[in-house]
Amino acid sequence: MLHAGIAVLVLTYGTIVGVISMRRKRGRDALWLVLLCCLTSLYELPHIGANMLTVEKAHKLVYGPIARTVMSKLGIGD
Amino acid sequence: MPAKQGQITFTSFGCLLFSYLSGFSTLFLIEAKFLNQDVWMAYSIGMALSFGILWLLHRTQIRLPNLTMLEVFDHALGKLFSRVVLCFYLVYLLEIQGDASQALTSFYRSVVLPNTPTNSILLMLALTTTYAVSVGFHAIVRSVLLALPFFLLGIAFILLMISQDVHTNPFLPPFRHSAALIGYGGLLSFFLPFGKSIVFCFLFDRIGSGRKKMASIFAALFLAGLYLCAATYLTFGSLGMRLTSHSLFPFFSAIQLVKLGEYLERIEIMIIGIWTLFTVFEIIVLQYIFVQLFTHVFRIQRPKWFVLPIGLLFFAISERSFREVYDQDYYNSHIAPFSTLIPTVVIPLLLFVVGSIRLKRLSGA
Amino acid sequence: MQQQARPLHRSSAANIQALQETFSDNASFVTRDLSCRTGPDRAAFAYLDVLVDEKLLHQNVIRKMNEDLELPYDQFDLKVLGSLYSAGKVEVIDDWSAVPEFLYQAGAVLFVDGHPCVYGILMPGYDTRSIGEPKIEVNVRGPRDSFIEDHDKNLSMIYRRLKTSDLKSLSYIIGTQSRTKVTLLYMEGKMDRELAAKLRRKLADFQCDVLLANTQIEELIQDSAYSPFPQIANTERPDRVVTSLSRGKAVILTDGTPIALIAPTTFFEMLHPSEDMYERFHFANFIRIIRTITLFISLFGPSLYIALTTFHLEMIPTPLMMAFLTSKAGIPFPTFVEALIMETAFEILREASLRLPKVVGQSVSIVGALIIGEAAVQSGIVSRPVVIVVAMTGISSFTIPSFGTALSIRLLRFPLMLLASYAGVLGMALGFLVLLLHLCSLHSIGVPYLNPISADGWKKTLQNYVRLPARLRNGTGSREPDYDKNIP
Repeated sequence: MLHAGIAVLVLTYGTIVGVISMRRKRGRDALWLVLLCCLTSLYELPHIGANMLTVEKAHKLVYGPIARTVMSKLGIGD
Repeated sequence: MPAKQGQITFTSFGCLLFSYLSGFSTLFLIEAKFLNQDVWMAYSIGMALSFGILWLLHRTQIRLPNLTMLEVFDHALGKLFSRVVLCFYLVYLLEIQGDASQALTSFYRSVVLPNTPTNSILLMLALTTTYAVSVGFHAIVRSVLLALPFFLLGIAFILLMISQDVHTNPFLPPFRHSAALIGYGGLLSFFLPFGKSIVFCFLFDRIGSGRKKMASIFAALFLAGLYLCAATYLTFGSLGMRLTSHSLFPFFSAIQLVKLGEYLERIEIMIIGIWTLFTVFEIIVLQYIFVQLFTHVFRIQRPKWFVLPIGLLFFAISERSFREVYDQDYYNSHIAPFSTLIPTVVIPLLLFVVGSIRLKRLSGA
Repeated sequence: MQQQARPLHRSSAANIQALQETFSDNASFVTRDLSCRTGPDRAAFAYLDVLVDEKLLHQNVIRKMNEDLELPYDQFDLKVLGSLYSAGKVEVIDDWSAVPEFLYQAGAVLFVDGHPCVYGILMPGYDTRSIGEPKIEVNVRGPRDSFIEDHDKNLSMIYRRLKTSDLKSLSYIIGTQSRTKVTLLYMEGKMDRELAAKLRRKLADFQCDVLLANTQIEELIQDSAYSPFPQIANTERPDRVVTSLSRGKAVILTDGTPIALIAPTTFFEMLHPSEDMYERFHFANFIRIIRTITLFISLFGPSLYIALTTFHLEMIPTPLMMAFLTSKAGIPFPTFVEALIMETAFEILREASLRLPKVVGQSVSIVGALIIGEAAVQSGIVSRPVVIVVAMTGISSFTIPSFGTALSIRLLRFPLMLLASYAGVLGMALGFLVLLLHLCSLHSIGVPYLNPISADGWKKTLQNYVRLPARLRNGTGSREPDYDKNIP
């Protein structure tokens, strides 16, 4: 319920402010605002958000093997 | 020397940096669990490394003293490449704030509010930090200056009370760990808490007195390190090494043992209230800097409209990250020390080297 | 009543006729024709009898003029005007639109045939309240006079205390229908020039129909209209005004309002009453500490109680905790609801006591205390500790000197209670942080409202928190007493 509410709120906000920005000839602002709001609402959606890539997941994928290699070379236990 | 309009004094900057570092530093004591009595060496390495990196950034920035750090990035690395590089900082800030928000939430859920849903706590945090960013940098600095005496008083009192239970020096005997482990501990302490200070380079243009900038940074780092050292010393002294290693929040466990006479005990709640302010100040500063970077990278004309969506993005990412506290513990001790090297070490070094060549050429031209 | 700017007639009769048309259906409008040997309509007075002191006008002006009326025609004008000038300050008005305005200022105007202007003399005869003791800002040792609704008397109280030509006073007439006199006061050389210019501009540009009270001016000059905290201080005490002027602040006096506005102001000044100036610094500082504690009790008292009894029972010493739990046994409501009921009842009582006639006020407060204190507890609606907490909170709020700030604290207590009931100490901490950030973001005509380190130096910073001894305050040092130190 909270997630749905936040998703709706952020999309509504993005739409309204995006339109205002377009009217004031700030197209770039409108574009990035809408993209940001869409990204936020995607994270809030129940099933989609849980499977979306976060910084934590990305870093685990990229740096996990590096960290294990370095620590095993240094002799530091897990 | 009084600060110019729109700038803050070097003392205020130092207080802000100290508050930013001291919030989360004593929560997990990760390096203390690894290194036990040799942890002070790790802290020293972390402090020295942070100060060194900040000094390099300072040296780069003073080549073009009338520009902000973001503009210095543009001049040194070229507009397109600097934007790519600054995106690394955006990702870094998202990582750190997600970690911080979830750490605070897991602490409260474990210790104080077990029945309050995680997302409610995260949402309250996000709304508070969003409001803080919307009121502006000077209001944030003034709030820190007002809250700091209460924090110092509370912490000094707690440290004094805990010290009554400490009868031996827990930092002895020293040098019981290998250089590799001490080096790794240094890396851990550089990640949390000292290396986080690197993002303060984006606030260099806000300080009035340029000459005392590094002095205030050194003082803040040193005092934050001293506080962390004292907290670790007393935690080891009152709980012992074994209990410290097995406790999720060791410093908090040590505070729980504080009693005032035979009447008043478990006063950690009051300290937690004050301590919470400083953990939230860290997230506020991170969010503020994120807004500045975002505005610059995407060339936003009216940043105030982006404050709320960025706050909600912070909430959303925090909610989806570090769902389990042991998962977070593993991430903080194994992944994050390496993932944060790019924004905290590699990019500043790159900026310094490339900046020394290009900016010299530019200023000489 | 819109007046068109036009010159006056040379004929006294024509001017009187026009004025009678302007004040048609106005029973207070009076004209006195000064007939003489030369014929009627030679000269005439006009005034509003409810505003002018008719007795004084007759005795000092008209009776003397009647003697002059016996003079020959060519000496008449000079003598009449001479009589008028000897009675008081005469204003020469040559614009028709200014004549009705002068009448409303309790003036009497004299039309003289052949003169293209009218002569006005102020003779206020309406009753005003006499200067009394302050009702809100009461103190023990300080002066006992307070402002009243009469603007000129208020100004005189300030001039009697600040006898320097550095004191500047700029007058404005605000309100197209009320024509209210507003005066801006500040000390040249002490007040920041830009701030003074900003205030002058704002007052000069202010447009309204009727200006009844200075709250309208306060709304004009404050920086944030949405904040619950007042950004402009107000006072009924002339000594506080004089102190503020000497500290480089501006003061605004409004005719008809017994309160002066002081700007810029800071949150610290809202907490420091004028009483501090008249006591020794030991006692003044002790009272400041008490006041700071009561400020926190007033703001956080109920929310702290709710947080501790709902989430953090372990912090309460065991005997006290047992007492709380025992008293709470059988109460059907959670702690938050109990506190809300009691706080609401207290607010209702407080509001009612403001409007009660004095004869029944005491009885009602006793009944209210009995009903709320005893009956509510005995009937099991609320527990005793809640009554004590709410009573302490209410009493603490009365120690805040600034009424506006106390009102804000009363209002903000409720959201803090809600946060404490939902998230305990975390909710309180976040609520406090938001409040702190809000206060730090406020400005009072451009000056930060809550600045822990003052831009005016360390002494001013220190004086925000403690009252320094006289020797350490700026400009209040005394030289060594003149006696022979060799005499033991």
